[in-house]
Amino acid sequence: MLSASWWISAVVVAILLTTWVTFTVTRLDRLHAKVDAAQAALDAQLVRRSAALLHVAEMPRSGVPDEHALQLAHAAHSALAVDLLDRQAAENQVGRAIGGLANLRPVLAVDAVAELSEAATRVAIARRFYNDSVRDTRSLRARRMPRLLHLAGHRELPQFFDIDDTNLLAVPYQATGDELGRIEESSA
Amino acid sequence: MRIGIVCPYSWDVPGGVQAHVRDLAETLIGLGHQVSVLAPGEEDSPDLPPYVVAAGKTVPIRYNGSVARLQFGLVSATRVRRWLRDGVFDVVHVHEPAPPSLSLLTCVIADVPLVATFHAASTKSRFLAMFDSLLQPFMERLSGRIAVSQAARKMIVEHLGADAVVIPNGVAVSSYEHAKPLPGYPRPLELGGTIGFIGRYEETRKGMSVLLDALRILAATRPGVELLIAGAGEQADFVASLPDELRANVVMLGMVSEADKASLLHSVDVYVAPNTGGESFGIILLEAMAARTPIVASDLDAFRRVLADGRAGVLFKNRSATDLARALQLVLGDSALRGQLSAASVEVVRPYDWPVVASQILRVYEIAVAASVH
Repeated sequence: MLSASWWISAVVVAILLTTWVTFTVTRLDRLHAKVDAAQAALDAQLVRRSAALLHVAEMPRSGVPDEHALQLAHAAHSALAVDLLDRQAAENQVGRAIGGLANLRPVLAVDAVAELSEAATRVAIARRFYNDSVRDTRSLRARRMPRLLHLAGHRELPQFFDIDDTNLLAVPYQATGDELGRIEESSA
Repeated sequence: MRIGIVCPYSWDVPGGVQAHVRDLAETLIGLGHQVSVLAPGEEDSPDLPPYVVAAGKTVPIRYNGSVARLQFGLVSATRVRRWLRDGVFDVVHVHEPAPPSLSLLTCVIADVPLVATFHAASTKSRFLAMFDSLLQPFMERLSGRIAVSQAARKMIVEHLGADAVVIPNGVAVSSYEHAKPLPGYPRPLELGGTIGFIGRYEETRKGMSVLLDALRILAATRPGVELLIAGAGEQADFVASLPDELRANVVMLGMVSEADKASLLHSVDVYVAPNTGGESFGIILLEAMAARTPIVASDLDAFRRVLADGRAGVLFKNRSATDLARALQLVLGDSALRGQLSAASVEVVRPYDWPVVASQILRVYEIAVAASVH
């Protein structure tokens, strides 16, 4: 009797464990695939931002002073280089180059500012979504059972992408929700 | 884009989330997108707009101090599946995916790029916090999160360990801009001026007592001044509690529809927000700005910011009836100032106009779709 019930519990435990492992492996697969997709999306937005910076630097009537335009083009070219060693540093350069234009805002062409600001906003969104999926993946991989059972296989641990993506070119009075911090619902 | 939106609360009950979903859906349709909204409700309900699909009966549940009508079950799951299959959406946008709701159910079932908007600024319930780790497998399917305020974003960061893009609530500026005044309004200013107030006037933090004290001061020099009050409350009790000398100056409108709210804003010379404390005040200031109604508001941080540091409204010292009376006197007595305030309002409210807000949401959709496995 004792051994029969022992066997039954062992089988139940085995079934539960298998189910859980399958579930977790599927979750990890999905998460890694999502990190890859989010990375591709972030990469596309970063390239778009550098391209926008290059475009503005070479724009005939952008309003950017010539010596400044060279700097901008340089930052953009470095970030677009294929053999990039430190992507985050290069992208921070691009971000700083765009942010540096905030002071020149009154003399800049409106479409130049719009193009750069849109590209910068998109980078900030894509980076947030990428880091979210990295965080989800890392926290599941860091849990005891997935770690012990080596459920992530040999896949590389995804890394956060840390750059300063503050958009200094954002339109004044751009709605950010800050003002609405304390508003919860319409009260009428 | 083919966009599916899930509203967790019944369409027939008025509420902030429902209004948000309705305005978003209608704005997106106006921009040429194909939109379908899934919301709890009876299938044969005649009042549903054509873009809403009913997900069936709801069960009323006490949640965060109010009764929400929620659903979670096999029948609902079937409806969600059918809606997803028929819709062939490029992106599905769920609102307030807290358990147990249609939004969360959609997160569990859907195999499309998912975006979620979080409206609540606080999760008071410990009961919900218990579910966090159980929900994680479904929450991690979200490709993008939106918070309607910095406070809501803070909740997501602290509570769900994720980040969010802040996109504020929108205001349908054009419908407020072009509303007609109530019959008999606007009254000639020579009568003493008309002041508007919208909100639950019995709640202390809405500052009605400050406003009534200020009104008494104002009535000394402007005997014909009128205060129009709209909002929920025990009207008879409130009127009975008014000091005798003010009874003639106060007009109660009771609960008003959204259209009447816009009309009220066009009927008054100045709108007052005398709120004494932060917690919640509503989107009403944005609506008043959209209607170009000059605003007088207490100098709370949130008000100061939304009114562009006083450019789009005159601020008075919080809780000070004398300072409120001074501010009202100033605005009612100076037509050039009222003109300036209206002009500034139009500019300040522009980023909150639904088409602008919807374009920010569309940008999130595009990036979320690109960041999803499909």
